Amino acid sequence: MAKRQAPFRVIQWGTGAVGKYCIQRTIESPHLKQVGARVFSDAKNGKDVGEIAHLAPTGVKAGMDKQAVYDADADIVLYTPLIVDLDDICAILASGKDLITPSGFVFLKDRAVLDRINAACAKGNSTMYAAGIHPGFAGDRVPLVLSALCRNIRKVTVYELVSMADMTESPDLIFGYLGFNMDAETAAKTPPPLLKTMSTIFKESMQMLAAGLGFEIDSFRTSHEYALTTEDSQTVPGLIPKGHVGGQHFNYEALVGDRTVIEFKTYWRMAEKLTPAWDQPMKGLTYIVEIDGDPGVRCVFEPVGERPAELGLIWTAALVMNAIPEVCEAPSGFKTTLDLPLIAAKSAVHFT
Amino acid sequence: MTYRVIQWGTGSVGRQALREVLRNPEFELAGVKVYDDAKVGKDAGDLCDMPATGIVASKEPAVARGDTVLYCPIVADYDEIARLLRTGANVVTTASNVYPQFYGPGVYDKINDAGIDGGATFHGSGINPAFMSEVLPLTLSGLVHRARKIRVQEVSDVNHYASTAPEIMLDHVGFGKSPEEALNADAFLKGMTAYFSESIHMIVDHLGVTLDRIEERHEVATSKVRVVLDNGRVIEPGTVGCRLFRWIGVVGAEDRIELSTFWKVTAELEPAWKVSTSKLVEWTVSIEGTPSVRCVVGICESFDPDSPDYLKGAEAAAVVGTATHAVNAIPYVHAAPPGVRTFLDLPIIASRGALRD
Repeated sequence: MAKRQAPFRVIQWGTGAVGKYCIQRTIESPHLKQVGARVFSDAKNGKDVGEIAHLAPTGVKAGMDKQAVYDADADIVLYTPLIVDLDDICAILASGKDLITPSGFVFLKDRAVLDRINAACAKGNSTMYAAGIHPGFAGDRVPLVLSALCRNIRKVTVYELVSMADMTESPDLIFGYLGFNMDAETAAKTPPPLLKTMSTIFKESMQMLAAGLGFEIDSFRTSHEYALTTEDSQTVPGLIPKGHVGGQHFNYEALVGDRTVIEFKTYWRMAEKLTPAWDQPMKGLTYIVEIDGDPGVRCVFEPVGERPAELGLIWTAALVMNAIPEVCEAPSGFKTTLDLPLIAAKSAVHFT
Repeated sequence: MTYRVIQWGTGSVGRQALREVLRNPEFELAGVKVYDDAKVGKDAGDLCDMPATGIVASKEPAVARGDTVLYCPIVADYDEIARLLRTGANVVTTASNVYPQFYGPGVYDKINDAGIDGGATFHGSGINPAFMSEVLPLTLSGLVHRARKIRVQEVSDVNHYASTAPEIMLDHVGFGKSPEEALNADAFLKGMTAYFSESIHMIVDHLGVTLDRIEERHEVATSKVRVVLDNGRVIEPGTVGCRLFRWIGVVGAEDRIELSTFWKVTAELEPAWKVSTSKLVEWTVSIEGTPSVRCVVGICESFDPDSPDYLKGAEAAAVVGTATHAVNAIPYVHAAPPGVRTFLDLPIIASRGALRD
C-alpha cells in the first residue's frame, strides 16, 4: 500500500522564483492541498499564501518559524529556498514529511550526507527526491532516456542556452546573485558567486548519468568565462553599460582517464553583442542533448511562448509538482530518477 | 551478472539485436531461432557479420528458465510467446505489443497469466511506435502543468527502406501506386493502425482520461518526378511519392493526441506539400499546454561535422536504435516482477555499459 493517499497536503518552503509557481499549481490542483508556507522575509511573514503567489487569499498564512513546519500535519514539503540547509532538510524528513527540492541533490555520492538523509527518512518514514530542469532533466534524465537507442556512446554533450534579458527577477538576484553587470576590472578578480553551487549540482547530475550508464567518473574539469557587452544593453532588470558582464559560460567536463565523456555547456546571455562573441546564438531558452555514439542522437527542446527564460522556472516547478504522486507513493529513503518509474505528469496533465 | 539471451528471428532488427548481444559482455548468447531453412545450422556470428560464436541457429532452440528471448519476428505469435513465458523465459519483443492491454483480455490475460505462471516477464519495445510515441512524450509531459494536445510526428526520407524492403514500402504502404489504391488499407496498414493505437491507449490510460475513439486521417501526395530507387524499382510521376498517416486520439470530443508519420521518397510533390529535405529521420514531439514545449530528435550515424558519416545512414540508424532499445531493456525486464511490464512499469532504460569502449 502507498504510504500516503491523495489529496496530498503540501507545505511550501521558500516562495521565490520557483516556489511561487509551486504554490499556484498546488492551489489549483484537485489532488493537492496547500497547508502552509515557510518564508524568509518580514515582508512575507504572516501574509496569505495565495497572495504571495498573486492569487486569491486561501486562508493559509505563511510564517518564518521552522518548528511550525516540523510540527505541522502534512504529507510533503516542496523545498525551494535559494540556499539549502541540510539540517533543515533532515529535520523535515524526520518529522514525517516527504521532500522534493529543485536545489541540487539529484544524486548523492557523499556517503556521510546520504547516511544522514536516509537516517532522517527512516525516522520519519519519508522520501526525498530532487527535480528540476537542469540539473534533474536536461543533463541527466533526457540523455538517460535517449541512451536506450545507442549501443555505443563516446560522449554526451548538453547545452543550455538562455537569454535572461527579459527575466523579471529582482536586479539584486540577476546582478548580485548571478553576477551580471560587473565592470571588467571587478569581473577579472571576482569568481561568479554561483560557481561553487553550480559545480556541486552539475557534478551530481553527471554522476547520475554515469551511474545510469554504468561507469565511474575519474575526474572533473570546470571552467567559467565572462563575456562583456560591446554596447550599452537595456535589459528588464536594468541597463548594462558597455564593457560590463553581459554573458557567462559555465563549462563542466566529466572524464574517464583523460577522455571527456560528459560535457555540460551553459551559456547565459543578457545581451546579443558580447566579447568574446560565442557561436551559440541568443535564443530564448534551448536545451540540446547530443549523444556522440552509435547511432548518433540529437535532441533539441525548448518552450513555446513569451518570456522563455521565465518558462524555464515554470518547467522546474512543473517537474517538482509532477513528481509529487510518485514520491508520496515511493518507499522511504533518498530516491533518484534512477529509482523511480518513468515519471510523467500522471495527475497533472488534464486535457483542458 | 550476465544475462542468457536467445535471439528469436534474424531479420533486419533481429540481426542488429544479435550483434549487440554478442558485443556486450553483459549478455551471453544461448541460442538462435530462425524461420528460414537456409539459415538453419549457420553460426550466429555468420548471421550478423560477426566472428563465429559456436552457437548454431535452429528452428527450435532450447530455452531455459531465466533466459530472455529477444523476440524479433514481424508479427507476434501469442501462443508461442505464452509457451516461452511458461517455461520461465522472459520475452522482450520488437513485434509491437508495447501496450498489449489495447488488444483486450484475450491477448493481455493470455500473456500476463503465462508470465505469472512461469515467473517470467513480458515487455514490448520499439522506436516508433514506442520510444518516440510513448516514452519521449511522457518524459516531456513532466515539463507541463496542463496539456491541451500531444503531437508526435515522424518525418523520414524512406528511399533506403523502400529499396531494401519494397514488399513493405511499395506493396503495402503504396509508394508507386495510385492514390486510390494506396489509401485502401490492407492488412499491413491495419496492423500499423493497431500499433499506433497501442501508444494512444497507453498515454490516455497513464494520464487517467477516457478515450472517445481513434480517428484515422491519412493523406497521400503524388510524385512530380520519376524516382529510381537503389534497387532499380521506379516511382513514376503521378503515383504516390509521399504518405502522411495520422492517428488521432479524441478525448471529450477534442483531438488530444495526434501521432503521425510522414514518409517520402521525394520532396517534389503534388499537392505541393512543404516538405523537409533533411536526410535525417526526425521526430517532433509537441505538447500544447502550460507551458508548451517542442522537442525535435534526430538520429543518424554521426552528428560530428568532422566525421565521414556526418548526418548519414539515418534509416539504418533507426533500425539499430530499435534493436538496441530492446536489448537495453533486458536487465530491467529481468529485475521486474512477472507478467506484462510496459514502459510505464519500468525505470528509465539506460544503455548500460555503452561507454565501455
